[in-house]
Amino acid sequence: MLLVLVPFVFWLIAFLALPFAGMLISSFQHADGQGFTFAQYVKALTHPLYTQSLLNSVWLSFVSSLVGLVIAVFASYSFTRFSAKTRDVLLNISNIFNNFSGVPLAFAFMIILGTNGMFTLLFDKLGMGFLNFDLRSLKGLIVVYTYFQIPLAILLVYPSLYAIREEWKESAALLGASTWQFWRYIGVPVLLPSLVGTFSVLFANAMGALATAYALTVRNVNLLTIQINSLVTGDVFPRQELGSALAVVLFVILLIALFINEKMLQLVRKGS
Amino acid sequence: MSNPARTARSKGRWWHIGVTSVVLAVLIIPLLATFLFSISTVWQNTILPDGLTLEWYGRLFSDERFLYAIGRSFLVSAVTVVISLAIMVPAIFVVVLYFPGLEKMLQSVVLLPFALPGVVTAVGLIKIYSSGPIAISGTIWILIGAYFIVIMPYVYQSTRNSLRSIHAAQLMEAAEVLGAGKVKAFVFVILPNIMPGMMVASLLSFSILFSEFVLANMLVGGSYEVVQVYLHRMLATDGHMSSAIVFTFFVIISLLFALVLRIGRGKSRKMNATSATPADNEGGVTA
Amino acid sequence: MQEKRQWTKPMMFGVMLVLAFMLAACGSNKGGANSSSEGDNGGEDKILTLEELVPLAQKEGKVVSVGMPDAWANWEETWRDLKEKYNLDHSDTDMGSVDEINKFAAEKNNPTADIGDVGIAFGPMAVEKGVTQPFKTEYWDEIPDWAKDKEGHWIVGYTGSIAFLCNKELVSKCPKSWADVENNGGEYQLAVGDVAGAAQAQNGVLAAALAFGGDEGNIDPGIEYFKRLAQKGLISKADVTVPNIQKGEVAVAILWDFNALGYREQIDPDKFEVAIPEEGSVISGYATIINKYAPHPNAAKLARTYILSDAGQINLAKGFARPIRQNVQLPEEVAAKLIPSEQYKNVKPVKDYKVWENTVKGLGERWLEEVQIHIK
Repeated sequence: MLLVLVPFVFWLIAFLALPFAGMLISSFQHADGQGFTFAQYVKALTHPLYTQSLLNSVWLSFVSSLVGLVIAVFASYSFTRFSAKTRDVLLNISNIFNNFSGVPLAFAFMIILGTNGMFTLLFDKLGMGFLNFDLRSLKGLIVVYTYFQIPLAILLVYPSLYAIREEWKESAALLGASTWQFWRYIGVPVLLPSLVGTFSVLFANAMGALATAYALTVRNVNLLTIQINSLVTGDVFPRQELGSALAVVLFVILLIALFINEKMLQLVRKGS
Repeated sequence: MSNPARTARSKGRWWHIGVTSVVLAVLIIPLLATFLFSISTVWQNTILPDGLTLEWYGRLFSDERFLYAIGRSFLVSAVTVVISLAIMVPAIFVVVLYFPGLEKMLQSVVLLPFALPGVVTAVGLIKIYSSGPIAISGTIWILIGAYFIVIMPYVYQSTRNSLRSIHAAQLMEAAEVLGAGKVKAFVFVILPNIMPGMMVASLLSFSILFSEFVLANMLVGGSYEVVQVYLHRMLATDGHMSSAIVFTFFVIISLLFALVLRIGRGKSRKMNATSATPADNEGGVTA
Repeated sequence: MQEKRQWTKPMMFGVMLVLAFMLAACGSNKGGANSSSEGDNGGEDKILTLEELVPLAQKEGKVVSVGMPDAWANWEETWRDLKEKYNLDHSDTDMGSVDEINKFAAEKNNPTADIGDVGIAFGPMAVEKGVTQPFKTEYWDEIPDWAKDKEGHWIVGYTGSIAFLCNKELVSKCPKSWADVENNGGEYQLAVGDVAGAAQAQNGVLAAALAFGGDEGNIDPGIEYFKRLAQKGLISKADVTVPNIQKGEVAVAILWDFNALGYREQIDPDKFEVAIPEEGSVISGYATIINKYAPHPNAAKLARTYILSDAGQINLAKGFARPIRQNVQLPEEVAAKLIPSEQYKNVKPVKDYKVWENTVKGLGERWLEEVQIHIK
């Protein structure tokens, strides 16, 4: 039985554990690549530039994941209520948008909501200028991030919503339960583990995103991945060690998020 | 005689149509904008483009570099997805059913790829694999190796959600009670039932790999130019051409996915002939 | 059963981790004899000329470059020439200067790249990291001292100066000086690009510094200038890329003159104006580096020689970059497209790149702390 796991573990070691180990080692070194020190972590966790980036990234990821997930649950559920053919088409369409990320997405948003964007100009012309907002800000990024979270979330929760059988709803209705009650006592609890797991992936996806934010705002919005990127690549004198420390911090944040999710899941289960 | 369930259903129907339409509309608008830019001559500070043209597409399709790039992207993504599913799905299944204690660790491990910046991974991998017995740096294999890790979290999550929704443990028990060995039970009972989940996983992974740039550029770059590398070049040079590339890319992907879904549905319907799943409601709208 | 399951889990994890650390440690110490194609005679007496290099390069058959894409300074034509004249195949992977150096270093046991083009500030870094091989070329004496490494580890092929690109359709009066931008009354914003990560943007700040009495060691006047702009809401948050310019997101941009002229030519020559800021600007160069472990060293040397030859320099001029060799006779149409030389009278080079290197190291942070926080 364990044998089944061997190829997987082997792959993990070869392509994940090794680079990660290298990065981990590097994060404990001095700026010249030698020795052992906590200095990089101290800088990463106390310097206002980096702490601000942590907060911004966490906030951005949290909001975009939550909103994206909620929208996706409603959408996925609606999808499942159509015929098989329509379902497939809808799923297909929504999956296509998983390909939309990075620079092309940033540029597309610029076309519609940028300084000279289609809707920006339209709203101004129609006197609805108050609807316009600055795309190149944290708020703007929340909008864009939510956009690319939606198709991912739909795809991940769809199989679970599929499992909410029509018969359950009808039985519940016959027993006198309203739609709200059905969801509260049957639907959501059944879905909860999948929702929580999906939220973790969404959160991680947003935390790790770089290309879209960079394309839109360069470094004008302070995000963790942008900071890491600027330390290890580009026309800079690289500070690999600090970059590694920040990346490890990123990973720890993801672990914490996972942990919090699990705890909440347990609490909800105990409660009901 | 009023049927509360049926009234609820038809009221619900409008709700579902509404929600679906709104979500799809929101998703499509940026894509349409890209398409519009790809057929415009100039579109600078006006609500709509100055003029329309197919010039950009003409240039694109006469560039064989583009066509080769698409081919390469396909190859790498498809190979990685197939290998990944073959290795990961059984592994996840085994962990979930027989080693649940390991699952917490697995959940943490699958988060690692998000924390590894592409650049860091690439440099690390090149260092490790440019010498010794497995000198695969610069070849397509190091890219496949890295890509396996990239899609790992998504394959895990989709498979996990699927296994949960089909109550895999009970199904296995039932199958074994009926006399099937573990392997047979897995292949003939579990797999068909998680087919939708696996379809999801493979399409999602394919999308992600197709759009991946940093690793492709640093690990193989110009020597095995994939679509994203080609696109990246264009993005620095011309917005119209790059929009055309993006849109074409979308069209190709949708055609491919439609094909895969059709095949997947056909297969799973055959295998589902006797199983009890909520799949394939042949009748009309069930809202 | 419970007991067994409880410690298999941490044990497996432990084993994995130990294995990982072991292998990682091994990997980083593996100096390894590299399959040496180091046959270089760059530092020796006889420097091979173009003609002598040709047969040697042809035996190798191809040249692999990094950071030298077709669209930058017209590299396209040089690669085409190498193919048509000497039958050398070519492929390029675009990446930033540091990535190129890292790639050379990481791949040393299994190298794929031969030659790269880096901002002059990164030439010394490449030498320090030990990833270059020297090769002076037959044009050695015609290259000014500031533009070459003493032994030929890096040689500047072309120079650029910081300039303004202005979209006449979005701006009523295109700026000719830093002061013009500052006093435009809010009509447009200036796009600088990524100061923390792009040499072009960093040099933009340096150019402003030089214009207002500073230099590579004293960048304060430059920072001050941009701080004032930010406070007046005159700095754009968009990146200085072609699509952004095409979509009207960027009205005025700070770019290398060869990029500004190139973009103008590509988008619409009538719509844009390019000008070197009157008060002053900076001139800098990009230098080729040849990989110490290059799999096709002679092809790389041929490429560098060609780039510095008359034909190569004219190609660069067609890409709007200013050739490093002043004595190359440019055809009239090509010369006519460059910015008139009078505009360059206040353009200064960096005198000490070690000093500039130090400045750049802290520049990203300074920008963030002193300028970016004011950007609206």
